[in-house]
Amino acid sequence: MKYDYDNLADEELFGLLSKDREASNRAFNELYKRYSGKIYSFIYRLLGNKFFIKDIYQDVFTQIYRIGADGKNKNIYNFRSYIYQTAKNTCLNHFKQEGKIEEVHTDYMTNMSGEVSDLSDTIDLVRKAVSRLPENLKEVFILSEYEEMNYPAIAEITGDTQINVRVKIHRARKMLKEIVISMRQEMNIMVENE
Amino acid sequence: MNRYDLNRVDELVNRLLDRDISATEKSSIMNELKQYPEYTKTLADYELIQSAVKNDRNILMPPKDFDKAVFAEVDKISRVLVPQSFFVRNKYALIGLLLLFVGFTGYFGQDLFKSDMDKTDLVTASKVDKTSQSTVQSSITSEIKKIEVKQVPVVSNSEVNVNSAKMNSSGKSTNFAKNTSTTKSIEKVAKHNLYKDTEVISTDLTKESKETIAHSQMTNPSTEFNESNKIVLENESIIDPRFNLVVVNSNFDKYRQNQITPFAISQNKYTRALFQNISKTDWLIQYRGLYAVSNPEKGLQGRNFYFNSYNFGGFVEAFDGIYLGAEFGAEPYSQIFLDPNTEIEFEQTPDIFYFGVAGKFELKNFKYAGIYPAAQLFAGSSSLGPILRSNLTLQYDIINNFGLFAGLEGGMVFYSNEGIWYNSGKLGLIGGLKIKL
Repeated sequence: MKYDYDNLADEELFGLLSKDREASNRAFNELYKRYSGKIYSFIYRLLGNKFFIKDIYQDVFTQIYRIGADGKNKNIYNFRSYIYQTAKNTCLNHFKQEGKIEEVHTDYMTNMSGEVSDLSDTIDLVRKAVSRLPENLKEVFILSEYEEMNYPAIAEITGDTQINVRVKIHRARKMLKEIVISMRQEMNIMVENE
Repeated sequence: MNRYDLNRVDELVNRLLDRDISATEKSSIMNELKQYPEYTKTLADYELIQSAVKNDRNILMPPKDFDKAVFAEVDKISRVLVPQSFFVRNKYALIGLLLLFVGFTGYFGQDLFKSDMDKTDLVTASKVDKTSQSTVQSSITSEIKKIEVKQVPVVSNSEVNVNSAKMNSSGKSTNFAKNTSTTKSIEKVAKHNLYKDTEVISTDLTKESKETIAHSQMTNPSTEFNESNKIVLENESIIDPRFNLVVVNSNFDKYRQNQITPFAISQNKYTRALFQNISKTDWLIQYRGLYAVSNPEKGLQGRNFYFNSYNFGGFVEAFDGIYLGAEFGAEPYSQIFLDPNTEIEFEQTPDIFYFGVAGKFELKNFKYAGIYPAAQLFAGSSSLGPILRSNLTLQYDIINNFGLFAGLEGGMVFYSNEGIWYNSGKLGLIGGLKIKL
């Protein structure tokens, strides 16, 4: 049976993973095309370390395929939440195994000329600030601000209530603001000392 | 502002930044914020961060080795978790076997189950006619030439009966001298004594002669008996055309010893081809398996060499050593294509089914120690797209027309994705068996 894989919904493609091998491969190809960039971006922003990203990235998709090909869990009504949840859990499992991840100390001080005011430097600052957020706040902030998910979707992924998700995002924004301000102050001090 | 006011401003500003805020709620929050003039700085800081995030929402693409690693792992999982039943996995091979079986049965069954076939015949005339290089044909041909009858005028029955009456009771001719010269005399066998269907009607014969004639039966199909009963006419110009006809279409061939070993069962093309030294290369059926040594990787190939990459072929010998025919088979080919929209490179190894026309060229002139080279070309269609194959093999015939071959094969399949054409090549070691019929 031929399927129009480009126009099928994510949940329908996930259901095809347990079909014959050709349909399974084609459905997975389509799902991979749709989510490879998003999942990689999410993991990259969440972990902030490239060394083990490949393993986690591979684990996420192989786990998705394994569950889909098994055919037992076909009733997934929101595949997007499901794959992000899988990515989050895979990252958390990695944290448990590897222990606390060291903060990423980037050398943003090397590219300083005058005050840090242009957008690219701000983006860089914000990235580094995000990597310094606590894990529970970081994941909801990334899902909300970078992945542009609404609170119900984030709640489903994190397994939390919508109210708690809202509170966490607010806290993340506030903490982020404080980190960015302090980093900017540090940079300005260094510039003045030079 | 006190801490309570700061917290309140923070809370209101964060609510402003939420995407699910309605216009009325936003207006209400703005009205409340006006009570705190310092809210503008707080709002500016948050908006700066939000702007930076908004401009950094680009999707990061994974490196290519990430894609390959994922697909390699998924392919391994699919072979385990998405198994196919034996019949599904080998459905094309089974269909091919079924077609071959039907073809064999239909082609050879018509000879095996013919009701009018005389199963005691050593050689049937129709089959002998088709044998071009057999010793039987050559010997029969030479014998027919020896007994070829010259054109002679018709004689009466009485003349023949007189000659027949001169035969003695033992069936041997006493009045006729043996004539070993083939140029002067007509060599014939004792006609009406040998052929029951030839009835001699004559009132001139004595009773004794008739008994002699009737008693004389051909029991020994030996050449010596025929030789001893040759009728050499003094007047060789006088002969009844009936005997000419009988001689030409005689059972001489039937009872004559030949070089073919007599079989109790019926002879057919299949048994003759396999067990006798008769080259009858009308058909060539072959099967081969392939072990890839290049793309796709051996780890993705599967364990079953002969059922993972199989090929069936049927050929007809068009010229000496040149066979034309058709083939079908299935094997995995690596498929790599780039998604032009996302620049993601995908790789998978689907099992493709293919069929098409083929030509095989056997170079028996270079035969050494029973081994000779052969080349084969194939062009056809596959489930991915057009496919071309070629191989070079060494052939070895084990018994007459049954043999083995092994060699090297290269193939290439062409496929397209979103208007872009790709090709996937493959090199492998092949081995198989063949039957010439």
